[in-house]
Amino acid sequence: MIRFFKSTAFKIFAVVAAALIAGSLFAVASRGGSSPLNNVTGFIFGPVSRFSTYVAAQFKDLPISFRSSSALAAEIEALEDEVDSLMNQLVDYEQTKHMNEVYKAHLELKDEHSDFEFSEAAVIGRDADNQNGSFILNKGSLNGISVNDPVIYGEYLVGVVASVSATQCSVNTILNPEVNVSAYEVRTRDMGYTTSTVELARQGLCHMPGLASSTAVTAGGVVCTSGVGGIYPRDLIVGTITDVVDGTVDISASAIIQPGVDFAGLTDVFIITSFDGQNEN
Amino acid sequence: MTVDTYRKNLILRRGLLAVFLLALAVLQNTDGFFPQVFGVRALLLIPAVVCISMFERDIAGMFYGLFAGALWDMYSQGGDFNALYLMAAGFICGTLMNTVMRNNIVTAGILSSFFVIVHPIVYWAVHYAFGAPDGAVYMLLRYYLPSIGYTALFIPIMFIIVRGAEKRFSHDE
Repeated sequence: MIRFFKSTAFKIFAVVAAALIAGSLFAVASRGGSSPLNNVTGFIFGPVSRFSTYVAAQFKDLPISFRSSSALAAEIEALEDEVDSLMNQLVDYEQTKHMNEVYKAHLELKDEHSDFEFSEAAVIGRDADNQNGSFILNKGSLNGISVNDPVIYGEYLVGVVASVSATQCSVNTILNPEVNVSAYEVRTRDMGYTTSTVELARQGLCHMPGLASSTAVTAGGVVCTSGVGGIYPRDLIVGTITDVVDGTVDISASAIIQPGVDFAGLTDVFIITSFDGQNEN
Repeated sequence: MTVDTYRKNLILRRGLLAVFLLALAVLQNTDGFFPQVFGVRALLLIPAVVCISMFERDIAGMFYGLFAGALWDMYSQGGDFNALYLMAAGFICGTLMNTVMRNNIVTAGILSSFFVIVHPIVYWAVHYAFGAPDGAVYMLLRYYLPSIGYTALFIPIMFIIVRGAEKRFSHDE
């Protein structure tokens, strides 16, 4: 036994063990928390460790480990919750983005017409029987909406409030033959009114009848509201003239107008509840 | 065998065993490289050091244990616990082979099992039983005892691999 303790192997073992214990004490005492052996090993073999971690990360999707079904089920549930949350955030983001664009367009209009008072409204329904693009909005008399309030989208005229209840209202668009809008062509200053027919409404068009047969109005012209009659404020865009045709009933001409709004795609509009000159005949 | 062949075999054998320990350290301590069974890891370095020490004897076994433990400590928090433990394991196994034991798979199983059992128990005792008593028994039963069983499955494999390397680059040829 004494021979064992006196052997070279044991002496080497004792020296190295003492060095390791000293290194451990140094690790405890030092701020770094690492022994000299750790530092040396980390310096030499650290790249191997980092490389192996990198390689393992490339193959992390390979199912080589056995995990309990309950752990996997909990992970799946957490991931599903995360997906639901992200989907909700995405919907919120898209909605916010859309509203931001709507408000941006209306801000420009508000800058131009400081006398306008708006109420923002959302389309909540469409009459299945009505082929003229009429729809229902989620604002009513409780929100200050009245019959004959103009409805706009940006700088474009959409239509007019036809009926109002406490919390909603119905809108007749300019494609409705019952809606007449006093208007003028901006280049030639030809005055008149816009209305529609069943045939034109089916094509998503309206027209400006009663033009002189010698009118200078041509395709490409822009038609805006004239403000006459006190229902619609001046200079709201009705649409663009696509053609000028001869009248079928008399010798007047009629300008076919393509509205500037996609009525079928409307989801949010603004109702002008007050403007200078409203209801002045 | 000439001196040159002997020296060449020695260098190749010891280099190969060092690379083997390096590979095991990476496999044991890198997530995703070696299969875990319900979160339980195999402590591959312990049976490897024991088996190597049984063939390389006390001094070389001690330094292989030191090397393997230093690699393991690189992944753990400071201190030289694993270096000290595996160095001691290597020295003890090599000394036992020199004095009272024969080198075969049975003695490899006995010695490896001893060191495989002691290491997780000591680690658990220091870090959980004395350090953080809450949940200590759960940790022992859930992770440390199963890791002993999982590691024990690889003892024969380690012995066969090390014996293969020793035979291939034997100094007895």
